[in-house]
Amino acid sequence: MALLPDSLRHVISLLAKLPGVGEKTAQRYALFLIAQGGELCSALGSELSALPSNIQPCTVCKGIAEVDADGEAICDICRDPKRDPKLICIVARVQDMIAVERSGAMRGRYIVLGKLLSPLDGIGPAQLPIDTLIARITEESIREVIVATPPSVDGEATALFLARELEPLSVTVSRIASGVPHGGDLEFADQITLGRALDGRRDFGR
Amino acid sequence: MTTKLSFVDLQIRSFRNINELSLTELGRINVISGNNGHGKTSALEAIYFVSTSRSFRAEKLRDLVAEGSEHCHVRAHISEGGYVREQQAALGPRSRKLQIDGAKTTKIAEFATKTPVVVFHPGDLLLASGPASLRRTLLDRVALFIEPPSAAHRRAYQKAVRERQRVLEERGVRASELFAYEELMAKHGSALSRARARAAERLSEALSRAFCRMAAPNLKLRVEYEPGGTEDPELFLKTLAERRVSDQQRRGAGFGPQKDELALSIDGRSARRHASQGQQRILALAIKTAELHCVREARGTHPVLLLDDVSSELDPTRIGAVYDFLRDTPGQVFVTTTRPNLFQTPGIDSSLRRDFRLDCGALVDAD
Ligand SMILES: Nc1ncnc2c1ncn2[C@@H]1O[C@H](COP(=O)(O)OP(=O)(O)OP(=O)(O)O)[C@@H](O)[C@H]1O
Ligand SMILES: [Mg+2]
Ligand SMILES: [Zn+2]
Repeated sequence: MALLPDSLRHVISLLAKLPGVGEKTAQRYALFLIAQGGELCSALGSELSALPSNIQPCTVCKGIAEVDADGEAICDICRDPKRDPKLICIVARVQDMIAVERSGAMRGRYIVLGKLLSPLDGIGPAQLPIDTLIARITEESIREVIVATPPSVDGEATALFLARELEPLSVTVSRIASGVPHGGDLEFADQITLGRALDGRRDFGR
Repeated sequence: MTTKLSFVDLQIRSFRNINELSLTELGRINVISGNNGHGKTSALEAIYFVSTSRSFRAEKLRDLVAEGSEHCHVRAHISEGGYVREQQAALGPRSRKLQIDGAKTTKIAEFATKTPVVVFHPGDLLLASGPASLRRTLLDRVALFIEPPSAAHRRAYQKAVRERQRVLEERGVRASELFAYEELMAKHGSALSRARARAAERLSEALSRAFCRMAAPNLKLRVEYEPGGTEDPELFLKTLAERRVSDQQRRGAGFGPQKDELALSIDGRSARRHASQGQQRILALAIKTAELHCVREARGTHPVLLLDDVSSELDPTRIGAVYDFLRDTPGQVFVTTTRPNLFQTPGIDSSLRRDFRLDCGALVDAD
């Protein structure tokens, strides 16, 4: 006889798919939800099921956007008229974009790559949104691109690669200064460090 | 000037065959005894792990975790210059966690230089005669102390080498992202070469002196760093570009610090190929003495010495050297032996010696 009913085990296995959540933690969450009764479960359930239609990647920058009445998903940053329209910051993940935003040192807008080059994981240039990036730079006459990929080998390789791809365009490409520890995560760099790294950015200067 | 450094106590959990072990009131000389396979080396390995975040014998760090457990954990209180700090190192299925005084750290080099330890275990006898990788690791251990960023350069370099190789093999010599990995190899590889050259220089002086003291006086030792790469990033990059085809065919990078050698020769002949067994052994001991010296000079404190398996009666040179070590270092020492009675510590006040006996990874009364 199984110790737990099938439906509960199914919930546990779904919860265990979340990052940082193992089998044990998932079980704790599931039992907690049961103990809390119906209200939390149904609130969570309906919010979660509505999530994919309410929230979508921003069609401009691939950040996080709320879908509006017209079915458009454009994030607040891309809509914000006070942002410098000629400055773009390239980040690897939405988390990194949030970290850079928190530093308060970024006045422009973003592009979220979603991926970094990683040959060992089979990720090559074809998987990077380079066409989108080039199109945006030319259409919006972007003046400066700051590459804020993490200071890991893949992050650095991606930055070097993007800088070379953008070379033919008339745009300044700079890299955040190395205040962030090597191999570290932008997400975990403190705000001051990250702010300094942005201020101290350097041209690729080829 | 040197400060005093010593372990005050030690807790080990789910580490190799050790389920739970607590060593308290550690002394200057700590003798860990027990029969073969009862966990003596594992205890030293735990000390090494909590000091360096690494192992001196495991090929994969995962091997440290006791079979049937998910995590292993070592915690120690360490006294230095009158202050006591707590260091912890733990290893789980996906991550390694390092803490100093309760605060997590991801700065591995900073952690690993905090509590310098030098280990001397039976495998070290291959230092002179074994594969070059052993001598590269030796250079890296010394480089860590004289130039801590070298450790990050080494890790980044090794990753970049593997990535470039994958690009070469999967996408060919004209792949558009290849240059990016080569630039990173050149940047980190040249920095690593520079750090190793400096480490070799320091080591070479200390080694020549130690060898002179230990070997027959007329033997002449030469120590030379033979770089597999270059300290010049431009030249490094150029060479990589030239070698794309051959590296692709050989399925490995033929240029770079992964090909470094620390060449040792006695009276003009390669120690690795021509030295007698006895000479190779003395050379290995001299290398360890030199390592101890370099770490002490760089760190300004006497490293904690870990001497594994001092019981093998087969090897009197080694035993002799162990006693030399003990006499030379005023620092803390941990030794393991199957025969604690045969391990004498003449000239050292017996109140400074503590005996611990292990049975199946647990502490039993040391009679
Ligand atoms: N991950 C592990 N989990 C459980 N046991 C392990 C693990 N790794 C090694 N062992 C066992 O731990 C035991 C202790 O090994 P260790 O090398 O510490 O012994 P030792 O006391 O140094 O022996 P010797 O005197 O022969 O050198 C061995 O029997 C080994 O098989
Ligand atoms: Mg042993
Ligand atoms: Zn947007």
